[in-house]
Order: sequence, then structure tokens, then C-alpha cells
Amino acid sequence: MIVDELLLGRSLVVCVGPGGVGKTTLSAGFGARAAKLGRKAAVLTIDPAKRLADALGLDGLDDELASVAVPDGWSPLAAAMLETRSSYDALIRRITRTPEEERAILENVAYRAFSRTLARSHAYVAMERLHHVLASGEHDLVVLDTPPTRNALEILDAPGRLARFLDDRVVRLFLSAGRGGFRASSAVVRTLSKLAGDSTVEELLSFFSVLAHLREGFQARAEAMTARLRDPATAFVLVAAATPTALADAGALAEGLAAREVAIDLCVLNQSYVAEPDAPSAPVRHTDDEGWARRYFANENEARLELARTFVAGLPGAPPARILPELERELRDLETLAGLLELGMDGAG
Amino acid sequence: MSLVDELARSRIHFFTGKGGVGKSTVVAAAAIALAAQGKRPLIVELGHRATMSAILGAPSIGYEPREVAPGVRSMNLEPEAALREYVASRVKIPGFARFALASEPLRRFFEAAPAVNEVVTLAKLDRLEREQRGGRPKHDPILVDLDATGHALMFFELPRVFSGIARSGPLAALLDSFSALLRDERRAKLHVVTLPMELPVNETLELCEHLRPRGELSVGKVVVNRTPPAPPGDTEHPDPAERRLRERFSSRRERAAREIARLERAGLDLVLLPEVPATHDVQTRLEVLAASMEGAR
Repeated sequence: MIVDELLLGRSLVVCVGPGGVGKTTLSAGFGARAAKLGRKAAVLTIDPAKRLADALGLDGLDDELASVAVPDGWSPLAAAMLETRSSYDALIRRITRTPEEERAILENVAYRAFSRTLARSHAYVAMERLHHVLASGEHDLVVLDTPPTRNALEILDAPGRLARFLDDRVVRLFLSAGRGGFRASSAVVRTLSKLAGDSTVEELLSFFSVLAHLREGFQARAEAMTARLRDPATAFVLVAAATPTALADAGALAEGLAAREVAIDLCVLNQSYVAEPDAPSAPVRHTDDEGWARRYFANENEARLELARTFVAGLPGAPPARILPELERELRDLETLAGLLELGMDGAG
Repeated sequence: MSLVDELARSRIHFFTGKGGVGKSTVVAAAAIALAAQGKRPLIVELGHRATMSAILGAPSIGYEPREVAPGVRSMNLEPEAALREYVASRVKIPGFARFALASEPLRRFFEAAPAVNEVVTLAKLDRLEREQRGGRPKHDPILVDLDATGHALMFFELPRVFSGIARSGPLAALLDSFSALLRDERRAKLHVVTLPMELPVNETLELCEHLRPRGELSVGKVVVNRTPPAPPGDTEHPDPAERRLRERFSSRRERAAREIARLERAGLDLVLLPEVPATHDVQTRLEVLAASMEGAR
């Protein structure tokens, strides 16, 4: 199965897609399957879905990677939920060189505001967190469930943007190096003051002046992540559901990925059909002696499968696709999660 | 009060809900229903999405509001365009504004700073709400299609996030004005779209619980989308597969009823919308939903 090839052959799987299409469940499914296949796996998720924590046998997910109790014969599986604030604080503790530097950032008003869950802050810290987990070298495979913003592309752009801003020549225009550190300067600062107000700019600059000392680290990690996301060992999985709106969003995302020269390695379409009661992979179809329920589900399936197949056929690069049924039961255990991808059928790519 | 009547009473409505619940479709249908009553609705979609144009069958929707259905206008609040407008409105000296927009370091700053998109989006919403034509509001009402619940909260938290850093100046003024807008229920309301399923209902209850004690933004309707229809026949049939499909159909309906009861127990003001079969085309789908928004419930 194409999925197993990815899980065995790659070291990072990034799941992207619109909200509410089952991305988090699928990410956990990839992790479980990889562990079953003998890969030491870690799943980084964003959505603290309780059901998922239950399925993984955890009391709850938190910011630290926790081991999941796996069946005998599986490789270790770990999972963590990204919590923006604690991830940021952990990052600052890792990268600052002195306790004074650490305090200066952690107590900065602008830092405290931005380390709350603003969309962009979220994307930065997700990348930093991913970098940290990858750098630990403890896992054969890391699965990243991207933030619940519609614009998952933010994830790809975030590291480069911060690095471009922290570029020495740029920061210098905002802050002039003087005795005792950086000081505000120049026309760009006056312009910003007009846009945001003096007090805001002052706080921002004091934040940046501390950050600027750490820019080399930020740039090195940003470069590493930008390269890593485009590395052949990284797979992108586009996840969507067979509804017109989810597919429209997913289509826009696919175009955005293509524009960034990121190839989609697999497309998974969830909730694409209702399965026959006895055959969990076969869609309900019309038969000769049908009743109202069969007619209803067969018509629904025909319309939804048509949507799914048309979408897959239009994807750039014609990636392989799996079309999955609507799940009737809650996911209760790791075995079911690991078998999730076996349920569906291949989409005609 | 029906959803349409409620929407006709305030100037700006925010719609949120867990991803995939059909929020954008509900917003589009609401706009169609409002236009049918002679209102001048404007749909505002937040940044770089293709959803509205797919739902309304309109070619790309940009920053300039345009008519997408009779009496319905729609725009995409792209952050780049909103930033340009914000800069131009703040910096009155043309040369300075040009400098601000052309400056490479500033561009990099705007790209990197975390709250820029949110702030310029607020500024544009503020401006749209004030726009007048012929002595009356140009857009009435404004329907904002927000991102998923988490993102929506982040948006409403913005004044608080900035409270420590924007103490005075234009940003502080903008955030004050936005906070005042949110607190005034004749002007602004938040509606939550959900599905009659366990997780979306959990999230809806949590969101309402979270907002209620703050008393900053009033929660209007909770729109329960895709309520499964009643079974068209009985559950008996000689073929066991057909019988189990019938059970499945009925159990969907029962599960939905249980979830709706949970929302009711929380004292929320519900609007139930029917599940529209996938076999209906987009246009029919919107008409069915728009029609069901006019009823009392």
C-alpha cells in the first residue's frame, strides 16, 4: 500500500488540509500504523481532541511528548499536543544563553502578547517545535498535524519570514547598535509609530532588540526547516472530505503548495461514502431489489464519490489518493487507528 | 425570532464554528435570505480562501465587494490589501505612505510580525461598518465568515492581547473602537454554526461557556446545520442489508436529537437547518437553506 511506503520510507509526514476533515485522526492513524510497522514514531498534533487522547490511551495530551502504550511487537509511539504558550516559553529557555536574556524575553510585554495564540505565532512555534523534535533524533518518523488555520501555507512561510526580518541589515534599520545594545532609529521606526503609536513601537522594539541577539540561531533553524520541508524524506499529505466547500479549500491549498514547489505525496479524502453494512470498504450502491434506505445512501454515495474523483483528477502532479468511508463507530483503539487507511479504496489518480 | 429577523436587527454578524460544519454555506444562504427581504447584505470572507466563490458559483471574489447573487455582495478581506488601505489611511502625507509601502525592511516587518493580519482586518471591518451611502449604511448587515472557533476567539481576544502594548495612539484607538463594537449588541453579534454531532456540540458548548461570563460579545443564534431527516418509511424489510441501512438512517436521526437536546439544556437559542442531499446542486442547496431560515425555527 502506498501509505506503508510513505511511512517506511520517509522521516517526516506533514498533514495539511481544511478544518474538520479528520486531519488529527488521520495523523494519529499514520503514527499508529508506523509504530505497528516497526518505526519509532511521534505525532505532533494541534487539536486537543479528547477522543484522540482516549484512542491513544492517554489521560490527555500536553505539550511534552508522552509515550503511548502500544500493543506487543510495535515500536514505541509518542504524542504531544502543541500548546502555543508553553512551546514558546520552552523555546526561549532553550535558545537564550544567560538567565538575564531569558528573563528579558519572558517578561517582555510584547513577547507575552505574541506568545498567545495568534495565527502567525502559532505557525512559528509549530516549526520550532518540529525542529526540536526532529533534532532530537529519537524518532524514525515524525507526523505533523498542522494548525487549524485554513491557511496551512502559513506553516511553510513562517520560518523564512522571521529569518528575513531578523536579517542583520533589516534589523539594523529598526535598531541601531550603540553602547549598551540596540536603540531605535530611523525613518522606518517613525513610520511604524504613525501606524501603531509610539508606545506600541517602543515595546515591539525592546522585544526585537532581545530577539536580535538570537537571530543567528533563528536563521539557522529557519534555513534548516525550510530545507527539511522540501527534502525528499518529507511527505505532504493533503487531507479533505468529499463536500464541495472542503474540496474548494483543499484545492486552493494544493495550488498554494504547488506555487511553493512542494509536491503532494498522497491525498486522503475522508467521509467520502457510506459503506455497505457487511463490507466496510465497499460503498452502498444501487441494486435490483432496493428499499428506501439503499436508494438514499446509493444516491448520496454516487454524488459524493463523483465529487471526490473529480477533485483527485484535477490535483497538480496527479498524486496517489485514498478515498475513505464515513466512520460509523468511534475510534476506540490503536489497532483500529492503524487500520484506518486500509478501509478505503484507491482513488483513480 | 427567525434567523433572518435576528440578522436584520444588528449591523455586523460574526459566524464561527468548528471546521467543516458548513459555516460558509450557512453565511451564503443567510445573505440570500436577507437580500430577498430587501436588505443589503455584504459577505466578508477572511483572506485567501476559495470557499465563497465555490459556494456561490461566482468567479474569484476579491477585495472590492461585488454582487455575487441578486442583492448580495461579497468580498475577500485579503490582509495585503487591507494593510495597504490601513497604511494609506494612517499616513496622510502621500510621499510618506509610498515610502511605507515600498520600504523593503517594513515589508519584511509586516510579513513577520504576528498580529499584523488581525489588526488590519479589524481596521477594515471597522471601516466597512461605518461606510454610508445616501444617508444610510452602505452594507447592512455585514456577515463575517470567521475561521474555526480557535481562530475566532483569538480575534476577539486581540484587544486584550494588545492591552499591555498599545496604551495610546492609533492602534489603541482602533482596538477601543472594536471593543465598543463588540459590546454593543445592536451593532454586533456572534453566531455559532454547529452540527448535531458529539464533537461539534462539545466545542459549541465550550465556546458559549467561555464567552458568556465575559459579557463582551453577545451570542445570538446557534445554528445546527445538517439535521438528518426523519426516515421516510418504517424499519422492516426482508433484506438484512437494507434493514441495517434503515437502522443506520434512524440512528443518525436519534443521535442528532440527543445532541440537539444537550444544546437546548444549555439554554441556547437554536436554529435547525435540514441536511440537504448531496445530489442537489449548489444553487438548490442554498435555496433550501435560505427558505428554512425564515421559519421561526
